Amino acid sequence: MGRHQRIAEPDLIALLVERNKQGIEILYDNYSSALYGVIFRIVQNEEIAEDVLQDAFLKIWNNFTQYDAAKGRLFTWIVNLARNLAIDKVRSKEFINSKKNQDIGNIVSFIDSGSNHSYNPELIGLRELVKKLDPEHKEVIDLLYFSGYTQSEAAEKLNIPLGTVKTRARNAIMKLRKEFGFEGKN
Amino acid sequence: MDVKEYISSGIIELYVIGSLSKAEAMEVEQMASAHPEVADEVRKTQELIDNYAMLHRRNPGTQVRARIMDKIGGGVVNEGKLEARIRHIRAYSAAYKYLIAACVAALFITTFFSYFFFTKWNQAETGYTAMMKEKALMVTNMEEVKNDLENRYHDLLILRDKDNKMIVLNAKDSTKNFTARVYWNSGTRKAYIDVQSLPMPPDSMQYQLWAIKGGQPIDAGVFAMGENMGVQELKTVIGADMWAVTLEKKGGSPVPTMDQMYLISSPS
Repeated sequence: MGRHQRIAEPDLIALLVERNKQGIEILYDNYSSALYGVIFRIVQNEEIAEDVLQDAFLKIWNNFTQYDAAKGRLFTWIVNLARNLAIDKVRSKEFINSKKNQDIGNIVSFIDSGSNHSYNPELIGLRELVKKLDPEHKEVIDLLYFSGYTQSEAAEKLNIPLGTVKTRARNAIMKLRKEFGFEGKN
Repeated sequence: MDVKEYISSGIIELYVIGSLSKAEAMEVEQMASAHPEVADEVRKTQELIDNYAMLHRRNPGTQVRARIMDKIGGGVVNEGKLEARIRHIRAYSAAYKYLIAACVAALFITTFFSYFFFTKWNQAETGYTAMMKEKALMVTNMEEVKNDLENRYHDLLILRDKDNKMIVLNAKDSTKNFTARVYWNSGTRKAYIDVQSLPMPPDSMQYQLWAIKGGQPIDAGVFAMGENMGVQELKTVIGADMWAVTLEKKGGSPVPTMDQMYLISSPS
């Protein structure tokens, strides 16, 4: 994170809107590890993850006009963009063929604890708290978030009713929120 | 639908996680724009999920950054600033270009007018000089005419004076056509001569008029020769029986040189 640059989000957005290359450089330095982490979590392969990361940055660069600040933060937009690219990749025929129908359960239960993690003091405590989540809550979040499952797909996969998927997702996030102290922080 | 019930249904969490269909997602967005509580819930959940995603940070290979930047291309670094500067420079150089053009144009125009007016002034100066010369000439001519007229008037006065007696002098040598007239005023006793024809004397010589009274020559004065001499006033003499003109040395002589007598009048 030595390259991390402090910049106000509106300024970074302005740079990207005017297609100033400094903008994409700052974006990369500040968020590439977060995007790459999510992508890697989904595709489980460094080479493919790096390709997807490249696609993500090119898409951000070329389609930045599609970003609507009214709908959410910049990070939300880019992480969802990267996540969707990764999920598309995982669901592509070539990927499925190469992975030979890798067991989804393995992906879901995968918690990355590799040494490649960036050090982030703000999130160290958070990481500890995640471990406190009920496994079934975490399972739902990961399945939905990192595998891009629709609620009905998740329900089918976990063999639980559709309403339960919703309730578990809600409860998992409520728990996270309570534990992490996000309530009222904003 | 009750907003609180909607919030606690779990649909916002699914929306944020991206597990809703497009139609369902649009419904949530509509709810968020209609109800600030829903929008607030969406924002908080997004932040939570963002942080959850952040937990999975992992650094890509070091070469990935360069690869991506290479793909993006390098033509837009500081494009804004550079373009602004170029526009600035262009604007200035354009302004200077116009300024220089204006200066050159002004130089041409002033040079043209300078030359034009210099030529005009020169012409005027030449014309003025010529006119002044002409004027001077005219003044001279007029003076001459005036003098001439005065002389003629003076001559006329002498000719018309009833006290003036006219005596005709003819050539002593009867083969010549020399002739002149002498006027003598019986009142003032002044003698005048009006030469009609006499040869021009050499520079060292002058004609002299003599009044002969009682066989004695009396000097009546020398007179000049030339064009338009008119009637010349000579000396005062008491009277004369005859008049004669001799050629003498310049200034005249006390006694006439008899063999140089050119004119003589008949005895009165």
